Amino acid sequence: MIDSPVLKVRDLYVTYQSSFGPVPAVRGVDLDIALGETLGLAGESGCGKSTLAMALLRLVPPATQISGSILLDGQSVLTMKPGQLRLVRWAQASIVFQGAQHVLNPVQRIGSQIDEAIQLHHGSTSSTVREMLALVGLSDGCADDYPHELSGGQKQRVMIAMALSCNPLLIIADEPTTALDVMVQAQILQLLDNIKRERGLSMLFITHDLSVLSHNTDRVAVMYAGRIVEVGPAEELLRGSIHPYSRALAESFPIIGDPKSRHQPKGLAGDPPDPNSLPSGCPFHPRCNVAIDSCKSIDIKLSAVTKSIDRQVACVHANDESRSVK
Amino acid sequence: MNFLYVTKKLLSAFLTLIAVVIFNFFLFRVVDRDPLAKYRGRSKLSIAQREIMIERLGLNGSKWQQFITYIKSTARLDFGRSFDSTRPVLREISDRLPATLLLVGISTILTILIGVYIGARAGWQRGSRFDRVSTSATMVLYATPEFFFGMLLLAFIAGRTGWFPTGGLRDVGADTSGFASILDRAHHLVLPSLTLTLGYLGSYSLIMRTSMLETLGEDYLTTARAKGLRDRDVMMRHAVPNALLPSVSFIAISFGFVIGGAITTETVFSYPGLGLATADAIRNTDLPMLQALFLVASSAVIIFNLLADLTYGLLDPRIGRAK
Repeated sequence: MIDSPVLKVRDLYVTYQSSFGPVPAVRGVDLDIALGETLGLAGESGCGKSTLAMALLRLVPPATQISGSILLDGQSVLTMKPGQLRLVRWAQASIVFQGAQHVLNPVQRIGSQIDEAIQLHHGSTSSTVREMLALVGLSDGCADDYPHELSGGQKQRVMIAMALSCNPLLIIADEPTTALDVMVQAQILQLLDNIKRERGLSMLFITHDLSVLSHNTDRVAVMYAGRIVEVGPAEELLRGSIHPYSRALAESFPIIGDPKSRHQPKGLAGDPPDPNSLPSGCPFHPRCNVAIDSCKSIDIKLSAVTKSIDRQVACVHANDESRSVK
Repeated sequence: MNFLYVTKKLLSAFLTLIAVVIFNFFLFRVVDRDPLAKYRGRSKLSIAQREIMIERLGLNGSKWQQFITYIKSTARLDFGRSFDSTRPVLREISDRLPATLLLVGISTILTILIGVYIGARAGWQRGSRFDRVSTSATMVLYATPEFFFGMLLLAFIAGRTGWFPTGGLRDVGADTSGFASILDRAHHLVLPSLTLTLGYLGSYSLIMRTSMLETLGEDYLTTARAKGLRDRDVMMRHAVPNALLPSVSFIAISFGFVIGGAITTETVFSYPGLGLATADAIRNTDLPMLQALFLVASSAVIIFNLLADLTYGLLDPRIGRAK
């Protein structure tokens, strides 16, 4: 890994304020993304992955508490002044939001929405709306269209064009293919992959669908209840998860080409815990099938495992040869 | 906006107008009063005079014949003569319409500008001091009938200070031409238009605030913020254009209502527009006048409804832009 990562997150806590009191959505997350690297971030709905993405550019509601540190290209996002923050947004890191349905302004033409970002940060780049549309495979004519005149896949392409328009170092893709059908999903993933390679971009790819991570990510982090429970090289982690939650997540999707798994994707019983009242000890223990008594009281921290230097797991069984991989 | 959308809206406005004309005929036939009771004050008509009047008013013959006569004359914009002044109704109305249009026009422009500004800012800064103060104030305005403001202004500003006239359109004996006359007209317009503005400000800004609140959670605002736009620009370029949409139809329709019925405001200030004419016509049971005034009021609502639809089509690309 390179010495100065594009994104370096340390001990990040994000706590929403609600009428029921503080809601801890992200609880002590460390992340590193190197130049040109793609990190996949996986987890169920409500595990805090989107909150984490929003917090990276301080896009959470004003009353929300954020602590820890976020270094984006060496600059501290959490301590910078609002004016500085506006310059960093989109120019250093941009976001491809999920489901382009409502993330585009319905009463503004596509072209002017892309141009707005270019005008705001120009100097760093001299790309034009036309170039950006061509880059994502859309015709010039789309610039004059309104969002409702485009298909879901086209809107997602517009969103990607917009995200690339100011030449950022990092792209945060927050479930970019969730609302799309499988064919379009594959096209969008291919497009993101090509652009990333051509431009040497770093990417944080957020999804609940582990199957899309295998092709286009270098490393994968699995999140549960506001915390990363396992992180490691993508191939290795997806083939043999160590944390029982990652394993359950992997088993809930059928493996293409394996007829047996197609008929028996395994579900994971229970629901993700309510951030308002997290279980004691390891937050996963009520749903875990290998939990032991100590799991109810001791919350194991993310730590390196003995069998692989690149992997970290937060589980009491992490180094337990006999039960780790089944 | 495409041709089909405009044609459809024009056609539906026209059909509504026809329905109103027909309804108007029956409305005045079910009024259980002798149509000539109030003709020319209290002086009695002889039987022969009565016959002549009934014929002239088109009240002889069967209901069907009366209906045909009514439709024919309405199509020619012939509404007969006012019982009260004996002048043609059309003349009475066309003489008074400009005064009302001026009054309502000024106050509507003021109400839209101030109301939309207050509502947009209050909604955007929900829970702020500005929001709390302006929302309580606009609630009070909303709940108070406009003639009450008129009476307050009349008593405390016109009455106490004498800075503004208590009523009328212009000073008696004032110059009727040149700059002085314009100033005089403006002087007389201040309090009535202030009254109407205060009367409608509450609802306009509350509507705008509500639609602003509805756009606050929209994803495209997060996109705009993520792009690095200033808070002001996120509001002006992305939130307001979307939040305006629901307000447009409300504003246009209420404008239509005011034209036909600034009745209380015009009465309080003895302002000789259509509203005062309506109040007088009701008092004098001046049926030909009333019939025409009803038609004017309904037409105003229909026309502004049409304008609302057309504006909506311009502001919202999703409407009336069939592929």
